Amino acid sequence: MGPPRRALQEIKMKTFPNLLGALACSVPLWIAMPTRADDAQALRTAIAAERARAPARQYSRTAFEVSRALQSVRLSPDGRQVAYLRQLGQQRSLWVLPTTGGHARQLLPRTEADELYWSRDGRWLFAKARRSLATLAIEGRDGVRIALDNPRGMLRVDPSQPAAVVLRERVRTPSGERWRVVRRDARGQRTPLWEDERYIHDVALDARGRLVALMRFDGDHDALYRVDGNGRLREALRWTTIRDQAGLLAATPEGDLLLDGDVGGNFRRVLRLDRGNVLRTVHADPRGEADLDRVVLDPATQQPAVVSYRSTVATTHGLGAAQAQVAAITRQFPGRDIGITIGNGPGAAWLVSERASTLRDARWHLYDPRSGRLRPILEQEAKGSPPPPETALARKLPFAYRASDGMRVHGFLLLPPGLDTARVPLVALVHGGPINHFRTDYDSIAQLLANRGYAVFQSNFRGSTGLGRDYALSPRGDYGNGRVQQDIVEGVRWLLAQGIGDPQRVGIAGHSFGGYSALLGVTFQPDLFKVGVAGAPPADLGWSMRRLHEFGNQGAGAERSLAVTMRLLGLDLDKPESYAHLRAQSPLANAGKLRRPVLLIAGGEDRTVPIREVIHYAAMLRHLGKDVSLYVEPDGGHSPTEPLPRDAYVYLMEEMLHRHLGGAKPESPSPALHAHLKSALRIVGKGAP
Amino acid sequence: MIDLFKSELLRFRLWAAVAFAVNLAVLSFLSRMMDLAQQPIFIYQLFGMVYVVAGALLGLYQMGTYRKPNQWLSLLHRPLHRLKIAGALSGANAVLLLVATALPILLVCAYQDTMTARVVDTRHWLLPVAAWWLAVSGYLAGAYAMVADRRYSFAAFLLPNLFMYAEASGVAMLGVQLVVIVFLAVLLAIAFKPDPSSVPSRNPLAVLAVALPVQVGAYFLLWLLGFAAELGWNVAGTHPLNAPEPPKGGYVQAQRAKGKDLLLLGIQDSRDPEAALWREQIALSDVYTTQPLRNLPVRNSLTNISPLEFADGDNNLMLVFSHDSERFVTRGLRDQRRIGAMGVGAEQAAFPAPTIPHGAMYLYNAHAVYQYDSEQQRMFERARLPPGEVMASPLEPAGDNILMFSDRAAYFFPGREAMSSLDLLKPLMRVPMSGQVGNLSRVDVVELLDGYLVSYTYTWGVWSGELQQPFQQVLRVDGDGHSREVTRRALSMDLPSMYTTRNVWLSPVIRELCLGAQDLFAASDPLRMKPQPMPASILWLAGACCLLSLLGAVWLTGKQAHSTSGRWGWVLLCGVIGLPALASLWLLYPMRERLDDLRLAQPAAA
Repeated sequence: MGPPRRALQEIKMKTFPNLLGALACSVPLWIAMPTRADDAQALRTAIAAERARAPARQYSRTAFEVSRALQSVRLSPDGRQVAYLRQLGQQRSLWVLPTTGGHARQLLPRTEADELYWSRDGRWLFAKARRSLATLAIEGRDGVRIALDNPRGMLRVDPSQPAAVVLRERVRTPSGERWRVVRRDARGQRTPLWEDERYIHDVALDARGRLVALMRFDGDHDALYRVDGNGRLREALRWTTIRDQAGLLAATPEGDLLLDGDVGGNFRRVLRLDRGNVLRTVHADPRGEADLDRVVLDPATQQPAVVSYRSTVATTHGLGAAQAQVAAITRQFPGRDIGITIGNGPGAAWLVSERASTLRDARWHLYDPRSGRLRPILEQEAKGSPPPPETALARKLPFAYRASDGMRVHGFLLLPPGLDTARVPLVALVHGGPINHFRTDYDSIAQLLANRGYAVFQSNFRGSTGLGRDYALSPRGDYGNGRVQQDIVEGVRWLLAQGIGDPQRVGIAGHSFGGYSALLGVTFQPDLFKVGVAGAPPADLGWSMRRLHEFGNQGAGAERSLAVTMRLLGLDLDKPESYAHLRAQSPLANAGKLRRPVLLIAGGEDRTVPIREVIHYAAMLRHLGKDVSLYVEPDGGHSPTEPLPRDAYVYLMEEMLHRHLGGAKPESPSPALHAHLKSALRIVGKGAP
Repeated sequence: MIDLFKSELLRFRLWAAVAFAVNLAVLSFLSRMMDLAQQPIFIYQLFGMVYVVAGALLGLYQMGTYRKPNQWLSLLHRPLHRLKIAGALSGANAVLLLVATALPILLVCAYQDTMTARVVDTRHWLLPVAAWWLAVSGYLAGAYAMVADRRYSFAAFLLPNLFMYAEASGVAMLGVQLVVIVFLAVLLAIAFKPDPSSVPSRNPLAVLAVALPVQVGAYFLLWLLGFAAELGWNVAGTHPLNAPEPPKGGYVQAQRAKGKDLLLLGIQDSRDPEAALWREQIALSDVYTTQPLRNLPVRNSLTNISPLEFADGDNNLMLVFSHDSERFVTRGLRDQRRIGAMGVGAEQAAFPAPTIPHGAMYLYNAHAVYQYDSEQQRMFERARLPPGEVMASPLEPAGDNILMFSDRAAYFFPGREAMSSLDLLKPLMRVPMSGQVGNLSRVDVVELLDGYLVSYTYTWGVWSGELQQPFQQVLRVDGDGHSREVTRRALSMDLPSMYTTRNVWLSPVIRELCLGAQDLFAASDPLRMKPQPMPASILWLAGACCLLSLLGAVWLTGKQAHSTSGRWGWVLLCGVIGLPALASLWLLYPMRERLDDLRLAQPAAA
């Protein structure tokens, strides 16, 4: 027998919850253009290619909605089976497909689970729902249900046990709370591993199942501790987190720790911390511009095997023994964003996901490492509503431009295929956060706008994440009508100078922070932006930050501190003078200056940007006689999730842009949407139908 | 006497047996279907009415069979004191009613206590007594109505109606029942004589006892006649409730207005520099409307405002509040097996008062709000009122935060902590209430960027003569909880004051008597307010009515047969009590027959 093939386990990077609940970056997409366009010439070449394409016909709004038919597709460690969740209407079921061929088998006809995990031995599935974790034997009917006291109670599959997971429990005490880390095996057997007064982000276990390291939030910073045999902690590293938590990938037999994070450097990368606490980079973005997006480990050696970067151009690299196979796979998918999970054993199949900015729904393949052949799977299961063909969708063109202060700023451009780019209206889409970023993947709103004839500029202005720590922290608190807004404005002007977009037909739109930026645009740059569409916009970012800290759903918590994050970004919530400029430059304080029509969209139960803030601003505009429209989803949160409010959001945006920028006329609202709008549209703007 | 008692028992034994069987069958059936100890109050009221009516029919029938002149003479023509005869008859029927009403309830109580895991508290063991006394009061009212002069005797049926309005609860309510029973027994004793239709003339207390229900009856009759005026307004289409648009600035408009409209009405005349912006905000905002509680669950009360129970389907638990243990008793939802008891927090402490579920998330009692966490299967205290204040409205969402009212103030609690933790919440702000909670009909709240606009509308009791100056007050509450009055708007009553206060000017004394009876043995209720003083005009009208009644009594007693002291006693009574006393005087005493009224016998035609 040959050496066992490495079983690779995909570790999803834990993400810091949305700081301001960005919508714009919520849909995972993958890049189609592996081109780095950091100069005008490169962009012009790409533009010419888009110009040469056949124009696309107009597709319905629903065609752009990402299908939810197939979720959480996971390869078993032995590579013999693929588990997945299938959504049909309101019903979600759990299925297992043998990789050797044959039909899929339904394990559960109905489940609330939203995430699946395989046990190390491949004989059990862990189906995680919001507040519970169900264990399911692949053969037989065994299983238990384990309550989770919070949706993020699942830490990881225990790599030291055949079938167990590691969970985090909150323990209430008379004086507060404590945090406990426990192992739960597939039959529900519970083994306490650690208890702490601080919130435990992550843990690492050795081969014998002992907890050897943990990551903890220590009030104003995060720290990595080694745990010695006597249960004592020794601090090994400390750092501050901007958005995405660092993760403990594994502990090696030699006592080294593998982690991913931006500790001790600019970019997020794969790191190795040896016993002497010397930190080494295992892998970083070869292009030197993107943070690590995802890392896949070899469970046999706990070594990183596959890494992916997706902030500007999606690239996936194999490491060590996997290098050649990964390269072989990526060669078969030029211009695609590839994700790989490797089965353990010489004959074990690999699972390959295929994504692109022009591919609405991911495709799935099985890769035979012996023959190098790929076989598509789950094609029928993935089918939801028919997507627009890729030939009709706009490619995301990554580019960079120099801001007026010389900084290189990144963004994406989507152009309607086959149209004269100089004569199309241009829309600047601003992402939320602001500590968030546009990714390389499919974006339903950007694609819909492109299909309606708009050139779409997605600005990853300074302060965006995914492009290194320095980039994210570079605004130094200048989030008003200052440096960040200038990046967006200068990006638009740069595109106009490149012959992209009609200067007389430029709009700005965004959600959350993006909505705030849209309001800044129509307030302070009315000569450039003729219309604004603002979803859940804070009308005074200073007030919003303060309120979010004191009363919002993302204030001080056991696992993080908004105040600390804000301080990193240059806004000290304890020093009003540090954000006084935000009030002075706010759309609210400058409502009288507004000269352009604006559409406001909000959720009645938004816990991030409270409805009262949006209504106060809308009332102020109405009081001043400005052209404002206001849509409020009665029970909606920070972003619309239900189909009808989502449709309303997109329709209103389309209609507003059509009316003021002259893009394609939106299809008429359905009777249900019409009725919904009648009750939810609280202010109808001037000239609206 | 004992023979008469036995014969009466034997006479109605079959009836009693049938009533017992039917009652037991109904209760047993219902007990299989539901927990009879945890029903809302109207179920108990329904059963109570059936028992009163059954008792009344028995009294009417029994005395009806004896009331024919020959039988009456035969009944009383025994070597027994008349009261012993009355005692034998009513005593026998009281025993029969005990069998028919109390015994089945007692058996069902015993079944629930011994053979099920349901909660049976001490208070439930009092239900058989209460049911029996209800039936006995009905019986005595029926017996008196049949025995005494039917011109006025049916007024006795008003007395059991007191049970519907009495504020007493638990053992105190049994006291109220006993008082009514004693009073009805006295009435029956007074009337149980050879000439039962005659009014006693020598004992002024007996006269007063007989006259009292008649006067109260006349008072209610006159009060009810007032509704004829409302009928007329309805027919004419001018009634404020039926008009297409309610009168502006009035009670009906304030009651019917949506929260948004009411707030806009409240600040329509405001000269506050922010008022114009507020109007825009109100028009665009969600307004949170709350109506205060009128009752709170009372420890050891016989009935429940609503069931003190809820289910936890995830953990197969049914939780029922026990007044005895002051904790929730738990049993299996599916297997109905007794599990244990649940108090507050890890200590399983007793609840300070009976606790009632509220909405999907909370439970409340007079002092605090709680939340049950099904994952930990534990009760957490979430909000607590300061000592001396009682709950007027438990936690309700009001935008970002949640809102609770005591009888004295509004409390805003942080919505974030309410959602994300199970700890005791600290109020962000306390906004004192300027009016009385007993007069408060609604509170409308709209969020502003920093703080709230809060509208208090005080109209409760405006048409029952309890509130004379209804008004709406709008407060601006800033982010720190400081409040200032933006406007205070007097509201009109929409109906003439003379109409809404007729229960006073018809007879201030009887009104006080009725209010006293309503509060008999009752603990003070902070959620109820004493009626406001009447306007002078109404007091003058009441005085005029009393004077009119006095003069009417002078005239009427002149045409009736009274002793001198009796006559002037009645005149004085009519002067003090007013028109109802005059009506009772007319009903109690026949007009004196005059000689010229007598038709001379005509000689037969030859």
